[in-house]
Amino acid sequence: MKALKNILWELWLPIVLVGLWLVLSAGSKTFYFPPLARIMDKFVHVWFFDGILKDLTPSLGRILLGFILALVVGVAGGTLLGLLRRTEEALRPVLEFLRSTPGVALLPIATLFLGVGQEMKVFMIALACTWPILLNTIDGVRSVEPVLLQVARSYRMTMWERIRFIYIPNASPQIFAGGRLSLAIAAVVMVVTEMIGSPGGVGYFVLNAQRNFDILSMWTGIIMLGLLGYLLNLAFRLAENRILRWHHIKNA
Amino acid sequence: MSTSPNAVAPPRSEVPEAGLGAKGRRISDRPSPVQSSRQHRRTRTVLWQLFAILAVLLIWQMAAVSPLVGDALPGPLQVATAMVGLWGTTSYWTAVLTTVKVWATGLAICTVVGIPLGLLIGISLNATRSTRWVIDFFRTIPTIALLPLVLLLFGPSMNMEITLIVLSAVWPLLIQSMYAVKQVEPVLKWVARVFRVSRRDRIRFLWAPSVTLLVTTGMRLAATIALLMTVSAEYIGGAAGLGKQLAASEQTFNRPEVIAYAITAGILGLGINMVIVFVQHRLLWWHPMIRGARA
Amino acid sequence: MNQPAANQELPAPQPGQTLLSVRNVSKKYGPNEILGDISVDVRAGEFLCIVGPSGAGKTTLLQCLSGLLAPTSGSVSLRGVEVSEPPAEMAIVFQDYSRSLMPWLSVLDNVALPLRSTKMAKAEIKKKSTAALEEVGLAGHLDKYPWQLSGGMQQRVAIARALAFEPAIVLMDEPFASVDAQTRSDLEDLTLKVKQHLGITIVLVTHDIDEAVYLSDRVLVLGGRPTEVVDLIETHLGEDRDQITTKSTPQFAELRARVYQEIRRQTVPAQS
Repeated sequence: MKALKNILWELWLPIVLVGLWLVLSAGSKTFYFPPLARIMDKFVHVWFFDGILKDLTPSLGRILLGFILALVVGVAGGTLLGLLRRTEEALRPVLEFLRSTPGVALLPIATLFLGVGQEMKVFMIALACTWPILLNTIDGVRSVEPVLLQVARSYRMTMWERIRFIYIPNASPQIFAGGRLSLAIAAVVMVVTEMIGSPGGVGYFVLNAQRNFDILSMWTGIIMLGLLGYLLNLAFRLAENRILRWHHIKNA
Repeated sequence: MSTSPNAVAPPRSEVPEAGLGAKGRRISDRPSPVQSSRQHRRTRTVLWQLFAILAVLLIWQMAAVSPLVGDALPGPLQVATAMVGLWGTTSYWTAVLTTVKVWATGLAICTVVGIPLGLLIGISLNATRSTRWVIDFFRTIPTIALLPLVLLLFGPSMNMEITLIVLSAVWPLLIQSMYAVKQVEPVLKWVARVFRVSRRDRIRFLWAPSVTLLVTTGMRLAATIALLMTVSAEYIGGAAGLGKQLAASEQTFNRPEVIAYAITAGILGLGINMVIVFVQHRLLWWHPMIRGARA
Repeated sequence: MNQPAANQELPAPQPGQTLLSVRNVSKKYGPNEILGDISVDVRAGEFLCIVGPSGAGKTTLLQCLSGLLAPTSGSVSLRGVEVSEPPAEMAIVFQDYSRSLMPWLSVLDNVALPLRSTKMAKAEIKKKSTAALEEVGLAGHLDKYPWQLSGGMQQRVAIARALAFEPAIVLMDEPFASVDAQTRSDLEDLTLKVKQHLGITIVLVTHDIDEAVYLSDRVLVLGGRPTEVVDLIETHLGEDRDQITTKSTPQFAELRARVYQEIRRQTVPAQS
């Protein structure tokens, strides 16, 4: 009963909004805002299953690859820098600068060396995603309770064990917080690199449709990107809830 | 609620000494032996930081002249020359100013819309539940996907950029404001009730200070995203500003200028970040996270 | 706010009269019955301690008394006026000083904050707040911030805030549970001194039997499930109390044993 009420509270607004869009756009003659019903028809037509194979799969592949690369580099680098306090302090201005640079500004440099293909796209996604994860990992590693480290010393834990059982778990809530931000950035960078890069990918599809004034297809592409972003986030959150269970329970 | 997945706490380590806050300094004005040794340590850190920057420049120079890269990558000296050259041109400064103006306008709109709306939604449980999906959806979709559409609607103009900025940067601000309201200490709310603190004083002395941390964190996220969107919209969409200059230099194969513009964007980003962190520390000198970092 | 302001002069409560009357208060959270039918009259000028085992809903009861929480049934009235919101003549000292003081306000401003909402003049507010802080021995710390003080001192600030509000009755929710033993005794004696000096009524919740007996004129013992009144004991320990001499009297030992047994009987089911 209570659960049902909860779900109703959460559902009414999305349903109303989609309903409004459906109704308000129904007789639309505006070139840029075609009726939602037609967009939906087109969506099925374009994306099932040619579009999914041709454009969605490559997009999904490169965002995942870039993100995972960033995760590995960010966590490994962040742990290392978190442990080496002096080094990290010295590198702080450089890191801050690199992080603050809008990823897109580095595009021309990346295309210079890597061209406009897959390598450049994955590299750019990974690069832009690394900073939030790296900096958050450093913070997380730093915030380990000194008592825990004393315990570790008294049990003669090796460095590797400390990293595995103390530093990384302690930093994981912050790593995830950084990862969530990174994922959002990854989606933006993916779309941007696809728009300026070689053909293939949903971002390219949207821009190409716009250039051909195929507004219906453009809308389906936008919706597809929305779904992609939403589902990636959902997957990320499920993973987080599973891995950070101890943390969420502790803070409940 | 404290670890709800959307609330992002500001990283603790980004704490410059700049933000002590006038009041926070009161405790120990006299220099002590401890302090002078701290001073000493600080100087050494700065020296190491300069050293690190020089090392990075050196590596860059070596990469630029190495046969591996050929002459594709201009060295730091070339870029510096190009940068100084650009500083003498009006087009450079116009581009910087345009980008800053568009960014600031977009962010201002986000602030005016996002913070009050977020606070209001956060106060009411039903409003939070009702908007959960909608906010979650718009927060996660890459708004840059709308670029082709807004380009069609507005052309490569400031309006196009601002639309994109607002649509993407308003969410973090809204979400952080929502969580800020929910994290106000319940005991303090009781205190306000028990001691019959007037509504005006509750807003001023209880709610405002309580939400500042998360709201300013939201500001920082929003500012970063807004800059990314501004430069992206200029670079791809062709609106005037840094991004457009970047694309123009790229097309004329003026590589030192490309990098000089990229560095300009970086400096802009760094500056924006530093200003917000400074303000955050000014406002939150009393916060455990920030006063602790001073020690 | 149209209720009487905190500083308004009301006829002083006569000692011994009923000040706060609790009638058949019960509290349920869903199917969980926390408090079952509690009645007690708090007399003006007395020090009443509510003692009971952990998890007995002592804090819930205190929140019902203050109007922060509405009881499921029954009623609370202060001098005949039903309590639905915290009344002007009541102040509360919460357990967790680190959360009940505002870290962004100085010690003086923390104490002065409630007074700002009254019609009092600025100078008057400052005078009253300073006096309250002097009363608790913090005269030299007005401009510090709570987080620059020790735990015991922070709790003194919270007490001063309650005193400056000039209430007829102060409710204290395990106020000394988070400080060390020495500080705890100091704060207990401070509370006794302040009570005598200002003639206020105090209701204090604690799980510490020694503390309850030492401070009280009467001890209200809670127990059972749902929680009910097990006993209400007059201590007759007199006005002047001392941590060492009072606690070593046979009378104190007897009271202590009695409360202890009553609580134990309620928590440990009969083993015979």
